Amino acid sequence: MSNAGPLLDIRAVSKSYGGRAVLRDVSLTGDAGRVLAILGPNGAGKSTLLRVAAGIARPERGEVRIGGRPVGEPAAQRQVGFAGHLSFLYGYLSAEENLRFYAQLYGLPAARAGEGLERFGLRSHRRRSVRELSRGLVQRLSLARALLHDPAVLLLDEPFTGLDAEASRIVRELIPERRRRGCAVVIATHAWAEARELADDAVVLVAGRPALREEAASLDGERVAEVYQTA
Amino acid sequence: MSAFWVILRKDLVVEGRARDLLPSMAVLALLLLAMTGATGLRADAAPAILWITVAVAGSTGLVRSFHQETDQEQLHGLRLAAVDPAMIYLAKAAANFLIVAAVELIAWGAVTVFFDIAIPQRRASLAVVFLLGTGSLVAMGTLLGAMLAAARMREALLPMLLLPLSAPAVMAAAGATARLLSEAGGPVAGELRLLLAFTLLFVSVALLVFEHVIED
Repeated sequence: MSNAGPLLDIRAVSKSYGGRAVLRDVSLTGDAGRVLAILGPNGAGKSTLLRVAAGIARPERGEVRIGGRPVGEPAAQRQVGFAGHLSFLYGYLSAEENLRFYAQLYGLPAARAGEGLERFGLRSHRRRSVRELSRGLVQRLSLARALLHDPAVLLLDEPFTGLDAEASRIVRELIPERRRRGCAVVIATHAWAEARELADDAVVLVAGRPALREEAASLDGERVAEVYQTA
Repeated sequence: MSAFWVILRKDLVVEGRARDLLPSMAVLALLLLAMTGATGLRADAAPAILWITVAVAGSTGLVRSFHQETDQEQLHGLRLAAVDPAMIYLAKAAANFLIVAAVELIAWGAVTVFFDIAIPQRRASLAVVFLLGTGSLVAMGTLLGAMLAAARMREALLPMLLLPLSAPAVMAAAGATARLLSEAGGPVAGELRLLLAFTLLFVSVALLVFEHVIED
């Protein structure tokens, strides 16, 4: 993969659903070894932006590149890991079968499924079907799925929603670990404190446009709230 | 293992556990055949009744075949893994083919009982008619199932679309089956060519448009 520029490059992306503009001319980059937080109130376009970045929603204008290649090309697509509101998992398959299924699609050895289960504390639940698992366990399994192929770009949409304490701890360890490994991590969240704790850079999205960009460490709750009010 | 086989295997495992499609389609087919059989219709009406039953039962089942790919947006998981959309379509269609073929076997057994039909001499030709007739139905039904997966009234819409679209194939399959079952016999090459053309047409259209169908 050619990797002279940012790992994730979102250029002038616009997207609408049913005639309503959800993203308006958004440009962002996700750099290797950095964590970018996308903040914004409900309906700001955070989830849509991540879906466009992952290549599962097509923008009307603009483009997304992963490692210099257009998202959607197999070589670029396989560099993306995405965990969103829905799990992408099959309820009638066990935790292990789900990970094995995705491992096979990625052309990975079946052992990767076992490693994923181990890493996210799911080994004792491996034979249980996903529909029998709690929301927190499904969320963990969804993260294991997203990381199965060791992606260079990791996109997490509200990664702490519905997580139990153990799973929250795992995610809090996971994000800096991915940063150390040189991945570009993008987190969509509405909680500025989470962004300040975990991210290097932050962008506040309001009504589909970036309204504020700054270092995550300097994020201030009152200021973020003020920007939200402009929606 | 290629993505085709991985997805096909997964679909059959899920259907084996969920029993979402086969039992409901088979029960509907048996009910329709039992009711029409009880009206005292003659045996020469059986092929048409059989194929219409398969089309109706198939259309009610195929609408649910994409539910397992959409309730948790699993289709997006497949796209993230860079699976060729054509492979997704072909694997789903192959799984649906096997399920509809199982319904046909059950329906065929019921037809022989309710309409007192003997197994014909030209079994190989009959098998080809069933193969291509099912192929036509499933090729279009799988595409429509994907198109309507997110539609609010999909249960009503799929039969309304599939039944008229597949009517020429159903009529050709019924005509060929009738000729193979009758004592007078007769060639069925014309119907087989028509069924083959329909299957290839529906599969080609599906392969061309499927990527756009599953887009967000």
